[in-house]
Amino acid sequence: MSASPEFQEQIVLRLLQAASDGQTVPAGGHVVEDEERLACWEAGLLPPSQRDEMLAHLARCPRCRSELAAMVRQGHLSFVQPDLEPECPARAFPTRRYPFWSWTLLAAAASLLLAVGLLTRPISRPRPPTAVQGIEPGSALAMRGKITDYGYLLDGQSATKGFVPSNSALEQERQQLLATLETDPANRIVRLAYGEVLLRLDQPRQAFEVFEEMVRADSGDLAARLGLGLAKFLGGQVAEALGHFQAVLAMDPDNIAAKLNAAACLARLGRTREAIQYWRELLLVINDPQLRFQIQQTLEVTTQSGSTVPP
Amino acid sequence: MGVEPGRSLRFSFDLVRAMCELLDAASQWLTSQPGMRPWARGRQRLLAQVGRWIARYGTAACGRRLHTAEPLYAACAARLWRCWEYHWRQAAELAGGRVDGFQVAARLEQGLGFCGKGQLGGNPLQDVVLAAAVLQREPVAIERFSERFRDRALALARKTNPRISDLEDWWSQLMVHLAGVGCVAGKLAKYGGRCGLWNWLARVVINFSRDRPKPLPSHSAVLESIPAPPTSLAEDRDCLELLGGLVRQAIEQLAAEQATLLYLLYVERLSGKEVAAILGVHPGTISRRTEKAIKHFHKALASFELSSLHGQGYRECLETLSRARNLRELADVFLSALARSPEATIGLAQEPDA
Repeated sequence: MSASPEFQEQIVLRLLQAASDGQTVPAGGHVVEDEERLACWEAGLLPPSQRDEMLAHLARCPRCRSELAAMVRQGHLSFVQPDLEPECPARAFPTRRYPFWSWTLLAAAASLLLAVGLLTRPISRPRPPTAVQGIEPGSALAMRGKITDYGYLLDGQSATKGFVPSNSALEQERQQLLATLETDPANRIVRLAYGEVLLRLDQPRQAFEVFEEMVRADSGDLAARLGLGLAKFLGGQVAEALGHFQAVLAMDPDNIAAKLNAAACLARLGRTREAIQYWRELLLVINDPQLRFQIQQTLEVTTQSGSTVPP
Repeated sequence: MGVEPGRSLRFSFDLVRAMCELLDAASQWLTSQPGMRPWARGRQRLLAQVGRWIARYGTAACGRRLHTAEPLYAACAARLWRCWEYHWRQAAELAGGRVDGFQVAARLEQGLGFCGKGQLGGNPLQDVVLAAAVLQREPVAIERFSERFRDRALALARKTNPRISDLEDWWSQLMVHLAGVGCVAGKLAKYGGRCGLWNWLARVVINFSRDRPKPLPSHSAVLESIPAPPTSLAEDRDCLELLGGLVRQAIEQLAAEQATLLYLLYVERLSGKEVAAILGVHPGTISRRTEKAIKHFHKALASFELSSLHGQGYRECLETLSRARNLRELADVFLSALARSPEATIGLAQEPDA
């Protein structure tokens, strides 16, 4: 006597259920708890690779399968139907194929432009590379090779808000930089970073010594000269700080960092007219909207306070 | 009012450094994208774009201009970049590797993504800033968030769980759930702008308001929940565990999609249409896919050699649970049952007379 199909099915279901129940719940996040991915999946916004990841997790995780099925059964999760699948998304950026003759034309046009450019370029002294907007990389204390392009705060009150560096982290950084300098004393970038950390640790005297040594080694080191000015300013010697910033400007009149800081010193020394002049010049060369906004605000406040604005 | 060079540099350094580190982490990929070389210049463009977004969306969300020294500014910057990077990478993957990120950004600002219909359900860039502002408990942001989502969320909650009686109280609880309390981070911290905020919020609302399924039942509970065949042999739990393990091993050899399909169809008892929607295939193809999955399952099951199994447990189980003498027969029984074929005649166990 053989078992009926229904009876066989019951046994097989029990075995499948036992197989499912015996699965180990995978470690890590469950797909049913990641609402964002689930929402993207539901709306058909998941790329194939992520959808495969979800399916792979479902194959291994009885908990997610069970919750997902419950959501589907209760009508709380309704996936975009496959027959509603839209256009191929890659069409958003179609790949155009250009005929051969168009490359020839382009090459000819490029040659012409190059020739015109070479003939008409102005003869001027070579200048250091300048960032598109903001501060020339080498002059912004280098930041270990990173560009600080914007974000200079012009209202003194902001100092009381967040981003106060943790002294222990800075101290650790200082020690690491010092250790690196001991093995590689000629590394200019590390030395600049070391000076900057000292500034941030409110150790202007030590920072000054670092930058001074760098300037002695290379009098044209603009970043180190800028550091000298910052160290003096932090030490409360504003007039001397101004001297250093102006020294940088004498070598590189377009140095935005030096001009910004010089303007700050001038304002602090009560030489408002000169400060305003600097800020106005800065407005002509700074593209960053945030920094421009801050300068404009500073200018507005300064001019409203009764100073005579130079033409 | 004077400028504080030393102090101001300190804060700008921190913010820019943090952003630069985020961007540098992806520099290898980014430099392969159009307009990102040289990297210093490419990074400048990215930073400037993020700054513009914060100026625009931050003001819209908070009713004031965000200051670079605020933690919220940095939070927005990081979230905006992650959102942009996610969609950019997705677009690049779909377009064959290279896409202008600024075109991606323009599309995102229109609420358009790159998969499926591309309808994100809102501008994710604006939404990540709003989410960050709500997490920081910006009063204007919370007000705007409520204006945008409160009514829709309440309607959805009511539909999901008609037993919610005090909707005001429920909304307050949801806001705490979203914005966090004390040192517990709010749910909004997990929103990354992969879709519009409402799409995401709808899922959170459903999960928050519905009666959640019970935790995964224990093995014994599973067995109790299924009507047992009226035979004492099939109720042998040790046999079920042993053979269940065998079945699991066979299923693990299938592709993830096939294993999911079998489990969803036969264990979770979803309909073919529901499973098709989950797998993202046309409902008409489900029967063919099932057939294929069962075929592979059959092969996997048949590949096990009885002699390679340790101990006598399996052998005894097979002999007691079924009349089948080897695994091939058992596989045939499985397959005929899975296929629900009424013609299946291979005996697994004698059906009791009663």
